Amino acid sequence: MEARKIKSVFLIFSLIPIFLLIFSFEKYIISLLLLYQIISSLNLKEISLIELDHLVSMFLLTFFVLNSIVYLLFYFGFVKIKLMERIIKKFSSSSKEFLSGFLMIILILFITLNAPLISPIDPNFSKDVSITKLLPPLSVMNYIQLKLNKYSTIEKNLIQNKLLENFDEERRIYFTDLEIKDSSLIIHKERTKEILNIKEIETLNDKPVIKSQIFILGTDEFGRDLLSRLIYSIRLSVFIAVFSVLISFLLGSTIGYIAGIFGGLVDSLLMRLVDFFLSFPILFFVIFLIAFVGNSILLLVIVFGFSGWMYVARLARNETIACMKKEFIQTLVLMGQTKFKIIIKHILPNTFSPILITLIFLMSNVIIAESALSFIGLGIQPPTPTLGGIIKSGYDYLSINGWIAFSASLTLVIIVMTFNLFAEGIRKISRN
Amino acid sequence: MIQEQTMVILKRLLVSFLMIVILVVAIFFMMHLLPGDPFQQYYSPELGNRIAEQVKTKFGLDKPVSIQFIYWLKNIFSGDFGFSLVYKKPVSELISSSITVTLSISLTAFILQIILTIPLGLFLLKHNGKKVDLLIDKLALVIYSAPSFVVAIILIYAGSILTRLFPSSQLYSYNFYEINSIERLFDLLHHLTLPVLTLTITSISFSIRYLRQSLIEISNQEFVTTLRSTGIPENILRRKHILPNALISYITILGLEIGSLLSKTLITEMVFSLPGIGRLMVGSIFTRDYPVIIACVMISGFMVILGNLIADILIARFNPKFSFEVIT
Repeated sequence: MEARKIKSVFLIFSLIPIFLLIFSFEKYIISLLLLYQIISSLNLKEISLIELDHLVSMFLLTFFVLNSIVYLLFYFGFVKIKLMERIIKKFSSSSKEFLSGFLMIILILFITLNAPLISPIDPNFSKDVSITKLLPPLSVMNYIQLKLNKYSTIEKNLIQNKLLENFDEERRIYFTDLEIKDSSLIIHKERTKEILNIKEIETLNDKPVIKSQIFILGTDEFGRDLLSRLIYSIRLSVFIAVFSVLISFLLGSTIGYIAGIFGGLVDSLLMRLVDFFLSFPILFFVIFLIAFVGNSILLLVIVFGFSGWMYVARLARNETIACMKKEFIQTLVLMGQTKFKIIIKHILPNTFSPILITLIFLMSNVIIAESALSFIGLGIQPPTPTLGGIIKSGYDYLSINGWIAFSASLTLVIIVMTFNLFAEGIRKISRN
Repeated sequence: MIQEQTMVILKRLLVSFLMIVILVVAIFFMMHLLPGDPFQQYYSPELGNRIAEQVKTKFGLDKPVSIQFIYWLKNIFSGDFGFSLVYKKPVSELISSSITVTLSISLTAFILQIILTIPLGLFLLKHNGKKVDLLIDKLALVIYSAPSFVVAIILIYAGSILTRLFPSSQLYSYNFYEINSIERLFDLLHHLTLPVLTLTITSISFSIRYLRQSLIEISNQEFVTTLRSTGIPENILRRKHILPNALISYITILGLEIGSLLSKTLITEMVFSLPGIGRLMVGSIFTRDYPVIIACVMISGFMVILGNLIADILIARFNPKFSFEVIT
């Protein structure tokens, strides 16, 4: 590919964080205020997990946006960055698969890390299900908000009040039509109606403030925003995949390197163990475990981690043996280097790329397996959003609203394909 | 050479036997270690200790664990898996009726896959480098990235909701027992079309890429060029000389496919709600029907181990160079 083309592809990708910052500007500013408040009061114990999540993703979004700005400056020729030019040169000599896989992986990472900021609403928030359920994509719902003091019992300071005002989604009341009679407000919701005193509602000049919420991908059967659910489920899938592959990597590479280095009886014993686990019916054993122990994210991570290490071990062992035969390692052995040092300093870097390819393939396998388990209802339980769970609920409503299943399936296929493409791209590069 | 192969096969047999033993032992001890006593389901605490003892002796629960294990083994290998708590039927009856469904679906899909992949591979080799070839290759990559339930949902949407050609679930229609046997056969086929198609499409997308790759690799080898220079017609060259060489690696892929056949069928059964062994297993997990779960896990475990054994023997027989590295 030409360098010019790659530059423009990068430009499109660098616009994504900036666009998303504008999209979620309100949340971003509030996270900044939260940070200011924490710094000024230095009270770290009161931060809840969700607030911490917001803060971390705020920092990361800032980082991504700064990156994008630097790239924009570079693209339009205001600054010269040698590193960037070198990277582009490298990409232009590599394959198309590698480039597209790489960019998509960056995008997936971006989504997973910034999920709290870029998701429009809380993924588990549902209100007025009768009118918000199963909405088609790009539908807009109007809502009014109850006054804050109706529910809040604890006096909070200004910034936290601000936070609550904007993100306390519980106070929303969705409606299809509004009617004002004297001091009471009649809220129509398709077939039912609700009557409220106008004093309970947020008003401006004695008229209720009407806000609107757009559901970009529509809603599911409980009126929850599909886009937010997809964003959070991508996050969960990638989280499980990364950590279980990490377990596979640690376990498999340790066993593989030990077998490869020591050889002899140790090697044949360990490889028999690998053979054993390779043809063991792992999926059915997982199902058996889940049936008896119950399921949790931790169990899934451990189980998937233990079901993938054999591939890594076998590859690490074969690569090590091939590497040990090379002359420079033989020389090092003759020079009296310790085996541990040889592994860390010479064999590990030399065998890294085939193992990396296997790990990425394993990741896509774990994502498929996890979503399959949640599809049949044995994985992570609802209401936690998972790709398989969303596809399952979409499958139940396939004839009414096929969009749910379609968008979730497309997301899953794109993620798995990204990993496959990336691994194939690395394989092509390392072959050359 | 032949002796080496028989040694490999013998080794694999031994490993498979060991694996079955470990599977059985692990399941038994897990049953005993995990919380919850199945005995409680047959006995009310209000009945008093004397009757409790009687029930325990009747079930053999007063004996030491090792003796219980031997009894359990004896029962399992004589085909007695106990009594289902939900269906109120012997488990072996449930299993035997569901295993025929599972096996018939998966084997049909497997055979259909072989029948379809080889001509498709030859077709792709004929049009190598053209748009059709690249399109099918990319399509295969996309379908290969899609889990089987996604393929199933797309097929249901296209074939059952949009066009109303095929039923989307169950094994037969509600009036199955009122129609004659030929109509019954057609009814079954009608219901099984989509599940079998799902399995076939997913496995073709996996194997066609490897077949295509090896066909191209072999057609670039020197002996093909030599043969071509002698003036053999192209299609005979492809069929008689390139294909047989490429089949070796295809058989390797088929072997790997046998091992994963059952887990794919499990998901497909769930989507199409077919009364196979996978659906029986998942259903009994939700109803906490432990005897059925144990039997299902054991039977499917046996089947996977057997499938892997067949695969390894096939590979050892046809492709001794293959070193079982990760294939993805």
